[in-house]
Amino acid sequence: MRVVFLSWEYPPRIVGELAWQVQSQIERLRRKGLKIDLVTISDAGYYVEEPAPSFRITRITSPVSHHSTIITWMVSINTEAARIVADIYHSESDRIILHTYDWHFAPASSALKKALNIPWVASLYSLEQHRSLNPNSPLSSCIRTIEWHMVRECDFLLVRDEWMLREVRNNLSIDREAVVVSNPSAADWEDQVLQLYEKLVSS
Amino acid sequence: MSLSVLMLSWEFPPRIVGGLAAHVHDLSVELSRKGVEVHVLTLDFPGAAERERVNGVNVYRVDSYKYPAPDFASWIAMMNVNLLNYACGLLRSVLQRPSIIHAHDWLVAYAGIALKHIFRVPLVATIHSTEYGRRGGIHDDYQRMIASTEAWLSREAWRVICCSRYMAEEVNRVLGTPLDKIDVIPNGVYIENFQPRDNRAELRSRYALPHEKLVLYVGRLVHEKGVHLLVEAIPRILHSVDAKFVIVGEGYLKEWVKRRAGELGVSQKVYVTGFLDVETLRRLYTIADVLVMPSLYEPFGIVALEAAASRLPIVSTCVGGIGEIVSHMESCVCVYPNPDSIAWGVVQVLTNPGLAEHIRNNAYERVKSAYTWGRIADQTLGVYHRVLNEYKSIEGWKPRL
Repeated sequence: MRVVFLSWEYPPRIVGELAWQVQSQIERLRRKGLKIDLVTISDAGYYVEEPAPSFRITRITSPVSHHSTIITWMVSINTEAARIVADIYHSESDRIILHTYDWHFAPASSALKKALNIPWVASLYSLEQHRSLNPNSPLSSCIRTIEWHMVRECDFLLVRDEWMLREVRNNLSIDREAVVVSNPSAADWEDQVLQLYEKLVSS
Repeated sequence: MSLSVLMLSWEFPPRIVGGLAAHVHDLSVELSRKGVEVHVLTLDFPGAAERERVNGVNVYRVDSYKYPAPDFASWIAMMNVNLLNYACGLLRSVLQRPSIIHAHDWLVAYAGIALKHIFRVPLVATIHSTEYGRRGGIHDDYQRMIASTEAWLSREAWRVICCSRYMAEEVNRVLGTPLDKIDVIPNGVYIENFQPRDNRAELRSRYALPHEKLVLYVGRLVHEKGVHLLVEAIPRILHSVDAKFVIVGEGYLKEWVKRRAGELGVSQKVYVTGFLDVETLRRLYTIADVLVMPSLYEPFGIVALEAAASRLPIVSTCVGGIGEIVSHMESCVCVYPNPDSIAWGVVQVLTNPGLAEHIRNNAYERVKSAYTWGRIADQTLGVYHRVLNEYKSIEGWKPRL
């Protein structure tokens, strides 16, 4: 089994707290012997690193040089992410799982799941409803719609506490058993997540 | 195994924005007649079925407003997300894996490129026009984004198809695509659709008096099509010939055309029809006396083919691809892009029946021999086979078994 993480931030690209969360979670899962690929964004061109055995980082950049909004930028990045994940899928014999953070890589993950039957776990740390000063603006409405589809199309949605669970249910009108509360601060967090992966691979 | 193609186009009849819809429709139908399994993935249109079979072609229409978007480019991006998702489901359930993905223009670049990599299917792209050409240069970041997307699509495509040598050179110069990666395949026309019909006199009487010549313009009413030059030429033409000017099309210059005709004192001689249905337009070609194409930028010039198929004499600036279809005093009167020259050309054709007969017959024969859809589909099939042979011969970049 190989898990491909997709996150729009990872050190040194630090936008908020997510960069540290993703780094810490990947490290904990890697220590458990999981094979990991991370696809993340680079502002300094495309490059690949292998910082540790069974851990490869592919930093991608938009193939389009200018953008009108974050939407056009993110969709072009998603196309690149789909290319990288498809390359991993077609060249590795391992069973692959996708693990995304927030909305940024939802379009690529949804397509990869449909096309190649790759299971998809989505972690949700914040919602556009919380981040935006004007959640009803056309831009925020677009992002909220991406979130709306994401929580329905992923196989499991991970949230870190009961408050976030309520927020997801209230804002995205979802009442799925597939929403799992899994606090990364818990000592056995990695075991819970590994169990989830195993369940997806065996199903 | 038969050859199958997944066409991606943001327009397909009845959704018609420009010439792309007719191009993708006619090419798809002709390829299907030649035994290719053709699937067209396009956008929805009120009243059109989500899935249907059109003249042997499987058409799938995707909800284009699933996501709200802050601007046109973001809408295009999210529309591509819908196309991609729909195609992924389609390819797994109905279609299996097509032999070729064929994307038309930057508007479907994101979906075409993602599908290529996800399924490892070779991508062919037709670049019908460039942002650089449409805007007369790249002037702001919005245009830069579109041009950059066009360049990305061209890089990702195995082969790039352009409709004229002019466009091939533009794509080479502007997008950096090597010339040896580009195949020039012209647009086509079904000649049988442009033959004279009944009631021509009745139709003509709706547009012109019996003694008036009928001058036709067909195209978007935008700067690059040069309609403003024709309007300025009208008083100079009327100085020599009594004529009515029928201007067909929509665009941001529509109100300007009407206002300027008034300022020039020729309103009673100018009829701006707006958008016309295909059938009426085809009949108009057969009753007019001359077609004027005063374009400043023209990647191909499909209107010239339609006029030639209708045996309608053409006066044109012969820019871009038009100059590859017709030649001066043989199959067209070529003029300079200014009102004096355009007026001179129109008067030449309207006052010299021998010249009009000569150029229209030659243009008709030229279209009949080189621009039929059967021939164009054969050339397109040649590109597909070349791509597939190269794809089969390379090591690697094959789908996981």
